[in-house]
Amino acid sequence: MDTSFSPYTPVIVTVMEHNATWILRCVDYISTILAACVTAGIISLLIPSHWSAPVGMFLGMILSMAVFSIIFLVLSFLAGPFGILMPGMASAMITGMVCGMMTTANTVSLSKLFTFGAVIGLGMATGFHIYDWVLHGEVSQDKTQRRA
Amino acid sequence: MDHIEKWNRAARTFDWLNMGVERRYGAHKRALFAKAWGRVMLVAAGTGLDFSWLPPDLDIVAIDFSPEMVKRAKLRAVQYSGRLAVVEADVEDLKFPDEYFDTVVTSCTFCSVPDPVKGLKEIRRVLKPDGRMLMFEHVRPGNFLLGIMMDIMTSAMRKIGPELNRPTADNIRCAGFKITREFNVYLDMVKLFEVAKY
Repeated sequence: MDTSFSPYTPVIVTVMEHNATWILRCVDYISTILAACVTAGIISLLIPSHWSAPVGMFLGMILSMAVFSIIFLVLSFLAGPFGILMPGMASAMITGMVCGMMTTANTVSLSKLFTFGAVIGLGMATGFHIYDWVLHGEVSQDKTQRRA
Repeated sequence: MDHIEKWNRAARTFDWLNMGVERRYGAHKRALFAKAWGRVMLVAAGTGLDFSWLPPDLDIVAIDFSPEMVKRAKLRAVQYSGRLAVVEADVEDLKFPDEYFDTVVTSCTFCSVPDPVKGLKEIRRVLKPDGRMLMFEHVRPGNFLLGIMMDIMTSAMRKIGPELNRPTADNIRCAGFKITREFNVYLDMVKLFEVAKY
């Protein structure tokens, strides 16, 4: 590959040239799990247990979007926005809403919230990976023309 | 013009914000743009990040409506091995004659053109009858829930960045083009299109 006018360092181009998509895929998984786990941790710290469940759920959702926005801004520079945006947003939002409710129930420990976040994050990342695997590739033009 | 001001402001951070996109999808762009031939127009060149994915030794006109983007792209254009002129121009109102280009290349362009169908019709006008358009675009996903997520994200991002929910395939057909190849790069959201005039 001619790198003479590339805006990127030869190391980055070499990584791309070796088709190291698994590194970028790892970033997708890490960002999705991180978004869910950090959301769970912050919710357990900020939402008091004596609040009502609907308020906890709503605040959990708002906090999850704030957490995800920060993680998204940092990691999308590394691996592009699209692989992080949807799985990360979905896992953070679900974790935020559920953990918000669980925190107000006052029966769940921090470690359980973290575990819940990690499971949701891993599940979302895997789900989107499989969905991408199913959709990736050529689109039949006969089908597309009919849809239009 | 609001949209020009928006992209003038975005020019300062454009390279950083697109670093991840180039890293992940650069190889796809390079494979698609390798099909460019003859007189080529690159639409919405931005700061010129895509110059490195274009085949060498072509005759290229790169356009963008943002003066700040054009200024940065000109600095990068001198490193290209063929002829590459960077011009400030709006794809919705091109000053080129009819049937002037053999290939038109776009890269995440029609998420930011204010009237995408008008822009595509202008491209169709300046494209030769046997010419083709090579497009790397992100579009609204077909999945109902993901589509709604993109609609919400777009309403939040519209003032500062691109629109994430454009039905670009439908817009291409609406402008009178024929899609000869469509390839899903990520989900059905990041796509490559090869488009013929007839």
